[in-house]
Amino acid sequence: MTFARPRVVVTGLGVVSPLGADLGTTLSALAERRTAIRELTLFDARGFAQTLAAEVPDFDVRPFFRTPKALKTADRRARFAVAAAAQALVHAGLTEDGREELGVILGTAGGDLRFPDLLHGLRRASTTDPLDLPHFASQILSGTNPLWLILCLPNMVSAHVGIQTGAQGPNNTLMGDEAAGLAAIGEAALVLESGEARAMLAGGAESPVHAHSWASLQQQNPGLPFPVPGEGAGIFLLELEASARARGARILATLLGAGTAADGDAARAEERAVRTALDRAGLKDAETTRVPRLSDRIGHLFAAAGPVALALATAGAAPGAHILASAASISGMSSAIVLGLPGKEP
Amino acid sequence: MRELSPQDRETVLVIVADTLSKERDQLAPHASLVDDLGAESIDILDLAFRLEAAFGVTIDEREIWVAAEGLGPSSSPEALAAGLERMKTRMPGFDWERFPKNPKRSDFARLVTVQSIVDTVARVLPEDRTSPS
Repeated sequence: MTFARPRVVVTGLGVVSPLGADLGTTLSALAERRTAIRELTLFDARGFAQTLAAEVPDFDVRPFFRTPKALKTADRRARFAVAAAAQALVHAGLTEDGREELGVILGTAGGDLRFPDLLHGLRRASTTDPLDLPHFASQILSGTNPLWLILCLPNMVSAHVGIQTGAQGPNNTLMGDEAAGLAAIGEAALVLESGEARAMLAGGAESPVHAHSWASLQQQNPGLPFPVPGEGAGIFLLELEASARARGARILATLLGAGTAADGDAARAEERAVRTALDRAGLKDAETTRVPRLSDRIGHLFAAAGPVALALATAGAAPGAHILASAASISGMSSAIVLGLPGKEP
Repeated sequence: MRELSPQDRETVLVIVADTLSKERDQLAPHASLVDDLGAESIDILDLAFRLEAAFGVTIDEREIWVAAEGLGPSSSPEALAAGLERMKTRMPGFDWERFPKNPKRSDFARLVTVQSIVDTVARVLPEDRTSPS
């Protein structure tokens, strides 16, 4: 005997991308075949083998923050996530009611370790060996910006989204590079199916354009210009179909299948995640359209890559289409999502 | 008691305003950082750090917590009662009903005012940079 799983639908999309700080601007820029990849401006990258990036253009995030003071503990990825989440809620027409049943699951990477903040403390102790740990603990740490830690913690991204949108349901963070964003959408669907929440904000947010990330990417690609990183956030508002229909929401897509897999061989892991998602959707590969990854236009968005590409594809797909997005990280974690768009109205 | 120069006082007020995302003219001298200006414990740490950087001094954040009339967790009951009475006359707008009769250490953060921050900086600055009040 099997139990029918409650259906999960997409009712809102929020995108902050290097091509624009909202879904509409990004779609227009894509239609005009624009690229956002150019010489980076956020830090001095001379000395690294890569000096290009796809940066999100400046935009005013303050309207998205209920408490302006929170901005000082919100780094770029948290700001993008809050903006994208707010857009998804507006897009879905979700009112302020019921926010205790609204949850958040986002994929992101470790944040910027903020070398200048650490160096500030180290510089205070220039006559002492900075590797003297007891000295570091007793003297140097007190010279470090007290906001340093909460600016770089990965779970602060979901926390800021929860606080600024008033979402008081389950709140979680997935770390797993490229795979994390789509995996967050699959996890959010499980939360909805379990009845723990009525609606979930799910997706990914990244801002890897900083010295710490450049250092780690350079180590992975010694002496080579590594793939151009980009920044942004893609967030879906997912709801149980019954709740969405009950409030008369416009249904943008139905979540037909989700899959995750891990394997030492990333390509094999991705293949298995895709197969799982397709099996759950009851579809064959040929019956779906692969979501384009867009990294040649908006850079590598890591955990945000899958959700941003999937959100843009959802907004642009033909009625009745089945779209498939997948991602794999170098650690071998992978994830896939299949969405079905509503057919033409009879 | 030492007093800051008008210029240093202004620097402190601008830092307090920035730290709490407030406008400079929203800061009444006897406004409570916690109850009136929305400060959380992390903001007190942030404030101490910013003041240290701006004035080149070291400020133990406990200095700020006990800065309200020099009261602190180790104050004698008599000093505490007398100090709280002084605070009540200086902070008539403060909701004293909300303040516990037997304050815990963390409660003292609620008595930190804009003026007590100014006084803390005056206390830790070298004497030649301040004047007697």
